Amino acid sequence: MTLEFHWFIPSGGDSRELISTGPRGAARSYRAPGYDYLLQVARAAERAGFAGAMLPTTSASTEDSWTLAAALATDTERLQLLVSFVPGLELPASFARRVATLQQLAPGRLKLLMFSAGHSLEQRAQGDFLEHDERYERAGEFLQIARAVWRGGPVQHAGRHYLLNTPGLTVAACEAPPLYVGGASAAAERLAAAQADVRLLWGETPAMVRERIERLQRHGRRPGHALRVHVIARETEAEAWAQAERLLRAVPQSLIDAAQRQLANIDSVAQSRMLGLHRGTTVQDVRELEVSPNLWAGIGLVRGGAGTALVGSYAQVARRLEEYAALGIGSFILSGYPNLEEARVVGERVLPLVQAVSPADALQTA
Amino acid sequence: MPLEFHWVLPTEGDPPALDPQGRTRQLAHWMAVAQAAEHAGFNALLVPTGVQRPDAWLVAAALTRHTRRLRFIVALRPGLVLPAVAAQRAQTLHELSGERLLLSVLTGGDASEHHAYGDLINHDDRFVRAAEFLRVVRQVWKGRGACSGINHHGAHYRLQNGGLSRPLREPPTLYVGGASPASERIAAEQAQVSYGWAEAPALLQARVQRVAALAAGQGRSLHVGCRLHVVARATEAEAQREAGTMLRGAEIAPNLWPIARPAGIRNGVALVGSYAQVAQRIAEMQSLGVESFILSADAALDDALRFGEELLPLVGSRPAASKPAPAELRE
Repeated sequence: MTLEFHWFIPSGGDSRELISTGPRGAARSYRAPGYDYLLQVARAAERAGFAGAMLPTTSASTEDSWTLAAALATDTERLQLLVSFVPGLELPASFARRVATLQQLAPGRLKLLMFSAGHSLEQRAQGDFLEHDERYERAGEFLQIARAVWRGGPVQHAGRHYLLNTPGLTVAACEAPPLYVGGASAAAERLAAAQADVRLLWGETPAMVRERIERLQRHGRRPGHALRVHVIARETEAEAWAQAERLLRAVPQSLIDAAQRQLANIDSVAQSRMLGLHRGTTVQDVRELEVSPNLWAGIGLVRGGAGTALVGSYAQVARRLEEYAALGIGSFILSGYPNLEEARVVGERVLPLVQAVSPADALQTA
Repeated sequence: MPLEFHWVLPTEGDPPALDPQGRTRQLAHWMAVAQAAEHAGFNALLVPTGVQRPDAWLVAAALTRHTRRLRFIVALRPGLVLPAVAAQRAQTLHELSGERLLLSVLTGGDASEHHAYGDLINHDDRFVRAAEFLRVVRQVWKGRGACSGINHHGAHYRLQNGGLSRPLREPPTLYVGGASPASERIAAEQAQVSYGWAEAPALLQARVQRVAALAAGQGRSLHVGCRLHVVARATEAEAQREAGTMLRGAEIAPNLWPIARPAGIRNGVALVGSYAQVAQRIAEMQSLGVESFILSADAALDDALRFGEELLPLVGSRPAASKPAPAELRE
């Protein structure tokens, strides 16, 4: 089985530091998510050999992923665009049409990443006031309708969240793009088991990933698995840890404390699993946060979302990626600080060292 | 305000008689139309929305990458997407295009797109919601300021601690489509241009006065635009032949005809005549106070070029300045 490697488009801003919260934030090296910069990252990823790049969900501080994808598709040759979305902010048929339009603009280059629930504060800021579990229920209905619309025939749907009765929307009919589903709650796993082509995990330890994969397989249907993790790879292991140390030391303790308070309020199981990887917020030695060999939880101290990085020499990082692949991860979404320069480092130095591993064989021998 | 001439991109494709293979429903053709409109000297390209039309935002986003100066009027119907999302989408497209985005908000009128996409709100509420939608969008554009987020609790939308983290420097000019009293009120309160299908001069004059009075009541000024289909050729007889069966019923005013096609789509009002006649009618509308003309034709590509050479020079249009919008359009 071939492994797929994707990179990341920092549409909320980028930086050499862990925190790049924008003009008011702390980073000295803040890079605004202007289109020209994001295009440079996309082209760097394409040249460095990545199959695609992920666009994070649209929010008040993150550019609209759909519009960006349409423009980036025009300005790149073959890069796949992994467009993230949270359902519920628009009607499903309207979403389905946008997907069909993007399929037309970039044939065969679109993948969808669904973060079914988002989190409450972010959702309310955008006008969505449903609670966590209801958001999952709605996500299921949303996807059902979108798939029906893509098939092109008449759609009659009367559910709890949506009503639709349409003779068929030719313009919205298209081949359904591969769907990745994120989230770690029981509701998220039910949804992933029922609807996903690929289930997306954040960079948990191999033991946790194994548990999650086995748990999902008990649902019967067997989607693929993808892992989203940051990478700090250097020529030698010592250099890589020195870089992790530098990233960590650049963040004032007050910002770490503030970030932890904020992250603790997020009603996301995936997020609390990330937080569970590190205890406390004062760190003496950078490697205190090495929660599994070469897996560093330091990013989660200050950032929401995927909070771990693979830290090590090029060869070590390649070995760790192979280990995840052996557990059943078929697709990776990687990123670094900053994303422009690190796309080259990871694409040119690490990826050529990764040997394809057949997950099926690996599971049998495990 | 200098006269503005905009062109319409029919993303549903040209009529089947002109394009049996559906080539005009493809990106390559839309790119050609956008580039032709830019070359011809149009100010902006209207990317419409409709039941069988693709997502206007994404089509416009792709086309901005193939043009330099041409602006894009993205048409949207409130109700399909939450306003905070639309506001962010507008920011991204406005900025990535070098501030070439204009927005056309369709407030009421045709219910077919709403129904086909699962938006089952009734006619009157649609206007109330459109007004609230625009208020929220404009509020979100202002960003969060130094500390506090935007809170909104209305009949149709709620927002808690919302707003763009980075305010929009120069919000897009807003067009409101529709000639009903409710549409005009929304435009007078919130937009820069109120536009609808062209009418007979007396009605148009009444519209201009009504809209001016409504805007004055809000302490604002508002421009009036006309949506027009155009069939112009060297002679009137040629234009009439070209228009063929698209015209039904009686001439509304000299050279102004209702369009009634069998399939019911792409209906509206057309100016039919020689280039000189059409230019004359446009000049008359201008003298009544119409400043913005949104023109379309059945063959969007050929006629963009044809009108750029034959018609626009007669109506005093100059290629648009590189500024995103005339300063008078700003609030």
